[in-house]
Amino acid sequence: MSKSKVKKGFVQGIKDQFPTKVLVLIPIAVGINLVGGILASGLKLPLFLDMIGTYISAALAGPWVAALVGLLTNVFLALVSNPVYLPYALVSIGVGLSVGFMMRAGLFNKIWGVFVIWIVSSVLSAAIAGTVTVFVFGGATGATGASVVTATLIAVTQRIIASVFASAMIQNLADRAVALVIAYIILKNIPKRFRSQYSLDSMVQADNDED
Amino acid sequence: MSEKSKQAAKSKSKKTSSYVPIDSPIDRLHPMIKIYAIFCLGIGCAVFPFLWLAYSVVVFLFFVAWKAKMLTKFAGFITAFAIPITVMLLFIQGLYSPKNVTILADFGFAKLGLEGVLYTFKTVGTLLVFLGSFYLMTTTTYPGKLVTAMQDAGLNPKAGYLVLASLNVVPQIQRRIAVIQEAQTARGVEVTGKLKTRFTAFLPIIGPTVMSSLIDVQERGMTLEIRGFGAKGVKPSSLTELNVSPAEKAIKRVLVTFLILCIAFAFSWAIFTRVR
Repeated sequence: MSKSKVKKGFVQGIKDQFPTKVLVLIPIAVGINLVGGILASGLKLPLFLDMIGTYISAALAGPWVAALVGLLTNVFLALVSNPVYLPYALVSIGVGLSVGFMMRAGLFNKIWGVFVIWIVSSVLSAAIAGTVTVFVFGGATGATGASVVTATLIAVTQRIIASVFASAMIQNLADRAVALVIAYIILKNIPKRFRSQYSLDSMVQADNDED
Repeated sequence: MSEKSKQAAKSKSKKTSSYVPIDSPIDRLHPMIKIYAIFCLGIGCAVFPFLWLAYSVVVFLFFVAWKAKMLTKFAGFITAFAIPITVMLLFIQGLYSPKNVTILADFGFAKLGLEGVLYTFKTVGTLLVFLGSFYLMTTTTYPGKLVTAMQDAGLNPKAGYLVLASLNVVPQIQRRIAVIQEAQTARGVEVTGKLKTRFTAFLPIIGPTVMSSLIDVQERGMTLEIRGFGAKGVKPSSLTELNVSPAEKAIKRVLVTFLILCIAFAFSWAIFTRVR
């Protein structure tokens, strides 16, 4: 499998990851992301929980699919509720890619691996979200909870960038932990029959059959 | 568009996007022109060194919103975004920006600096142009039309499918989640009360929703494959067709000229201030 991939080159390698069964998984994963967020706010939980679909698609179909799921989730949010979400697509893409590569490396099968995924995806999303907040919005996006925390931190520490990152970090660590646990439980319960059709080997096999 | 398809669009768009089907010149405009407008106006205002341009464009956007019969909604969106972010940024940048040299006012615990205030208004102005024009685009463009326009401009049909399918899937999953939530409450799962109770309610609702959605994935995949979705070497046709009128070409030219002028001015201004 790896041999045929090297031959095809990087772009073709990515394109190969998008046969129809993956393509139809993407909108559903976007839907799971959004519904997780809607349900979390419906139950008045203090978290977003809007990354469950990204985690599931990363585990089933790999990093590039997960990145696309993240991008589309934010495009959807921008189209439907508020254009402010659009620049934060970078966060979703970053998380999708990093989690996808870590899962492919097999980290999701071990408890310490899940822990590593949690820390890396939280730190990465805090870093990207902080960068977007500072450079696109100047430090705050409005009167949200995170913005108030940021403002308080700035008033105490007098440092804008560090405060934005700290507030993003607090938010992300809690949120990603819960989302990961939920994704983990769901993935453990997905029937093997369904999971196996997304394993990379079988997908390359199917592609070769088509040709 | 015939009356029937319009009605279909109306009932469909209720949940799937923020599109409001009102017939207006803005609604009829080619979607690619609107996308051009977002980028040309937005980038133009972002590079332009003075504040007044961005705010003039915002006034112009209000005019466009009036033309699109969306004035109250648009005004609501702009105020709901602009006021909180201006207050927050005045606090963050005005009081604590490291660039602050000229002091406007001294509050004792912090000093209000001119540079931070200018930065705030520059950022808010640019954001208003970007987000305002994006908001107008989404509220006046039927998603199907938008995707067709983007496919005409070279977007992969599979990517177009992804956008449209996502828009359709979400209300579907929402209906499913409502059914599952009802079933779980009937069984005795508490969805209100203490934080811990609400947390434990999350999994029994999201779990079955995800599982049944994944079954849906397989069905969709088969349905699409049967209809030749993955076929190679064929040019797919589309239900919606779009043409660019001469007037729209002229609008496009004006927008591009605006962008070029803004960039040229920003460059010469940067050189001018450096020489001086």
